[in-house]
Amino acid sequence: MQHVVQIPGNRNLRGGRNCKRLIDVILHGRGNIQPFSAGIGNSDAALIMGTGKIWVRIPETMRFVFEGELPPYLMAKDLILTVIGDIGFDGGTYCALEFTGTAVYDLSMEERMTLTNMAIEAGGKNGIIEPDEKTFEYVRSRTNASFEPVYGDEDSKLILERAYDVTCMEPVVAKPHRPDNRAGVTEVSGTKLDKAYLGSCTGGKLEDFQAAAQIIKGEEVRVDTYVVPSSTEVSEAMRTTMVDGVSLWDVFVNAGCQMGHASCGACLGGPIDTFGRMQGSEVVISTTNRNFPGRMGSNEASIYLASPLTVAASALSGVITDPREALV
Amino acid sequence: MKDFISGRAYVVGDSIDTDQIIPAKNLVYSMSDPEERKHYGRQALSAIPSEGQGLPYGNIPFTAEGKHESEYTILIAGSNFGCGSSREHAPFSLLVAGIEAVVAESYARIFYRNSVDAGFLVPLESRVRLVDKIRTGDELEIDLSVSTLKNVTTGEEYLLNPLGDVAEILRAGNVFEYARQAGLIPD
Repeated sequence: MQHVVQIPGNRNLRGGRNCKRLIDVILHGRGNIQPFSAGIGNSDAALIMGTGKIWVRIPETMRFVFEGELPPYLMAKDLILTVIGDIGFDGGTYCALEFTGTAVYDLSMEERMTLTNMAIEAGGKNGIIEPDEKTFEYVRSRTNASFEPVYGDEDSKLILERAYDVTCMEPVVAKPHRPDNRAGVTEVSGTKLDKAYLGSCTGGKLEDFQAAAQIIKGEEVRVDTYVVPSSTEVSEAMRTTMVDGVSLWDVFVNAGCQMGHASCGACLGGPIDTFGRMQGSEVVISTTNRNFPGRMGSNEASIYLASPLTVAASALSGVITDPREALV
Repeated sequence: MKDFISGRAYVVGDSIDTDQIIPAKNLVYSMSDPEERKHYGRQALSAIPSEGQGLPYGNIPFTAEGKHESEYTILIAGSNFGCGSSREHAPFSLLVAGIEAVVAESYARIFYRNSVDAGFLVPLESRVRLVDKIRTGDELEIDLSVSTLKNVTTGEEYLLNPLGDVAEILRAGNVFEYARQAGLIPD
């Protein structure tokens, strides 16, 4: 099982509370597209494995529209941290969070996964993007099976709609100790760091490392910097993807980063000897998903969440740094 | 699931996450062993900061020292109850302590699902914020047939959101019993 099997999909349910259906669950293998993806508990998993059924409470929909051409210093992580900061870490509780607009459709499939994956950090039931040609290509590159795309209802009711002009947005971080504690990177730039961390399902994909490599290539990190691929597939691809004649893997090695095995790593803390885990009152900037107290292993640690670009720029200077300074 | 639930209230605040309900270090204990499972009751709600334990007063332990059963039957909470990591141990620990129903302004969805699926407790939504109206120790009566909560101590009555279709799962006992009754699982 890969860690990164999040499948962006599309909305196909009308809003409404207290609705329950024992519906058929179509269990796809890795690489197929599910139209709807949401976290479940142990009993749910057992029932699905035994009967192929699950009950759902139909979520209401919130829509976030991102328009404009995404500047090179912004990533999907900046967009989703902006949304979470706007509606709060419980602002989307039990809702479907739909992302749309030209800036979303310009994103790659991996970047879209960062958006949909982190809907839960605003309490969302699921994150969803209507499929387009990129989605179909992604599916076709992984399966020969036929599939039928599902689209939202024209007249579906929204409980919230927000529009953003991405050309006016700036890189953001989530300050300790909540994912909705958002600040513009300029507000916190200069904050002294003990560690930098590149990894997790939303920050350890191939394109996340490619983005960080733009800044880190040929430079040397100033603080302990941990690189943890989110899957063995990513780990292998880092060794075969070349950047100016050097493998992506070696870009980080040459910069003095500490390289980990494919895993969730220190995103969720773990035992005391976990690779990259926080100790004591360390301050870290990280591409992971959550920054609650103790999340990365130490109750006293302070975690700043940011995009791979911002984390890379900060790793080089040892203080939180605006990636716009490093991308010149 | 009973249609009528009565008992004393224990009141907590907003965004009580699953680590406050049952700290992760306790998850090593068996949920089925009759002695080990008591540990979940003893530790339930133990990681809520003491000023938030038993509002509005604070510093009221949910379970007495060494006891796994609480004197409280109904938990009153604010918004986003049960957020954080998904674990069935969270509603389970409240069940072991004797909680029959939680009445919150809103739930993190996996806590809600886990409560219903395993039939651990009845998760109810209040229409108004009850954290400021009900005090820890108040005598309460919940009538699920009409979706009301009565504070016997003050005489006030509040409407709850109807359980809707999840009531069928809770009435069956848990989602597996529900599936059996629906013919999805052979006997």
